[in-house]
Formats: sequence, C-alpha cells, structure tokens
Amino acid sequence: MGRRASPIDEDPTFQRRNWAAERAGWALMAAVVALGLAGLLGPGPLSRAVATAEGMAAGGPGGASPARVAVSYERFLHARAPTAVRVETAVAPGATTLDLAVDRTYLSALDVRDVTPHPTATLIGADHVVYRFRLAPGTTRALVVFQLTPTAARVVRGRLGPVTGPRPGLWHLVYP
Amino acid sequence: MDAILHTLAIYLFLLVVFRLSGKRSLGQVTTFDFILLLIIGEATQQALLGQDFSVTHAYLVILTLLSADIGLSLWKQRSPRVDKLLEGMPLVIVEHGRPLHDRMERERVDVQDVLQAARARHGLERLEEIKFAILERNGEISIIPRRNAT
Repeated sequence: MGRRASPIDEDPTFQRRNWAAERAGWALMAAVVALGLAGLLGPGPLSRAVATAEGMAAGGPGGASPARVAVSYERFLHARAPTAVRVETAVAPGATTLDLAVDRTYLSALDVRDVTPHPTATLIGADHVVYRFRLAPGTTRALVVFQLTPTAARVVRGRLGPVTGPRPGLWHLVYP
Repeated sequence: MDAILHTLAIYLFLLVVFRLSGKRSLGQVTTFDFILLLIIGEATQQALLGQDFSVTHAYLVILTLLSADIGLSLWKQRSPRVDKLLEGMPLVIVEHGRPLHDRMERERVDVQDVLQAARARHGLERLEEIKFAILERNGEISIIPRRNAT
C-alpha cells in the first residue's frame, strides 16, 4: 500500500495492522468453534468423563464386599445450565438400602434439581449430604442420576459415592 | 451487579466480534445476514436475561447497554485514535477506473459490488467511469465519478 492521490485520509500502517488483526480474529473465532466442537467449552466428547473408585462396601448382611463405583459426568459446564451426574455402584448382597454421600462443598456450588430414583430420605452429615434409596430384593447394581445446575462460574470439586464404600472424586469447570 | 457485568461483557464481546468480522458484514445486509442478526440477537437476549425476566432486570440491561454505547461514542469523539480503532478507516478500492485488487480481496469486496454501487447511485456502467470508489467505515461503497462520466 503506497501513497496515492486519494480523496480521503488513509493510514496504510493502520490498515495493514487492521487486516492482520481481522485475520487473527477470524483464526481465534475458528479456534473457539473447534474447541467448542471438541467439548472443551461445554458438553462434548472431551468433556465427558467417568470417575471410578474401587474398594470394599459395607452394608449387606454378609459384611463388606468388593465394590466399584463409576460416576459419569461432564467436566465443562455452563453456569445456570443443567447437567446430569450418573452414579453406578455395586450393591452389597442382601442390602436393602443404598446410602450415597455427596460432599457439601460440591452441593454448595450446584443446585440439585432432581434425583432419579427419588431418595427415601436425605440425611445431613458433617461434611456431606447422604441420599438414602430403598433397594429391591436381589439388586446387585444401582444407578442414580443427579440433575444438577451450576450456580456460578468456578471450579467445582467433590466426591460422590456410597457412604461406606469408595467415593470417586470429580471436578467441573463452570464457564460463565 | 451481575446483570450489569454480564451486559457489559456481552457488549464488549459483540463490539470486538463485529469489528473483527470486517466492514462487509454489515455494509450490505442480505436476507440471510438479516436472519443471522436476528438469531444473534435472540442468543444474546437469552444470555443477558438468563432466568430473570423481571422489569427491573430488563431496565438494568437496557440502561447498561445504552450507557455503554453513549460512553463509547463520547470516548470516540474525544479520541481520534479510539475512533479509528473501533470504527476503522475508509479505504479507496478503485482509483481512476483501476480496481485495487489487493485491497478489495482483503475487504471481501469484488468488482460487481463496486459496479452495483456505481449503477445505483450515479447510473455508471463501467469501471472506467469511476474516479474513486471508497469502502466507507460502515461498509457502504461511495462512488466519485470522473468529471466527464456523468
């Protein structure tokens, strides 16, 4: 862009920088879309996670038994947008109830909109809340789904699992 | 407070995104562009209002947007540098009938766009009849005809 007889004031240096900034902006927009598709800016493939923990679970008439707990969740969330956290756990043979503990700090950052199946009781512990579920006879595995809504943008950490068994830790990054 | 901060963040985001998308994006709005703008408006509205549909919240959002816009216009008025940064500068794209292809390509304007503006405003038929075509800051194309062309 050289100097020319122009009817307007031109600033070739500014114009070149302007075009460069525009191209950089387009690249940035494309990158953000790509990150969104990948699931790094909200629910998506890279956002899905499963936290697992193995250990011994008490509660059945036969005493402690090996248990594996898997918690499926989305790592990257949006504030005020609902998400589901699924807890799948082995149940001690003969157990009639399942007690799931959720860290209180975790619940302070996420509103519990619904729990499926509905708990028969909710108990308040020192640093956690216990959701109690009644089990059908012969149940060996249980699936509980928590419908949660993050209240604000932040990093949320917590543990979720049977009171007497292993409790995997999970984390979410909540975008505004 | 959150409502004001969210509104300012969205105002700033839209300002940057539309500035980066270039002059062509809003200069000649097609039907599809118009639909796109409506969708953007709808997405923005939901982010601005969230779950709060109260009149107070709406007042806050509207006043924040208008205040930001007035504040920015005052700033642009007082600072030519900010004005240039936010609004860009006009650009000559045809000079003495010769299209400046490098500039037109960068601004995503083609010869047909220039000829359309020349026909619409001055009844010109050929590029040779144009002294200068200028891509204005708002994306419109101004035509200065040659003296003997009109």
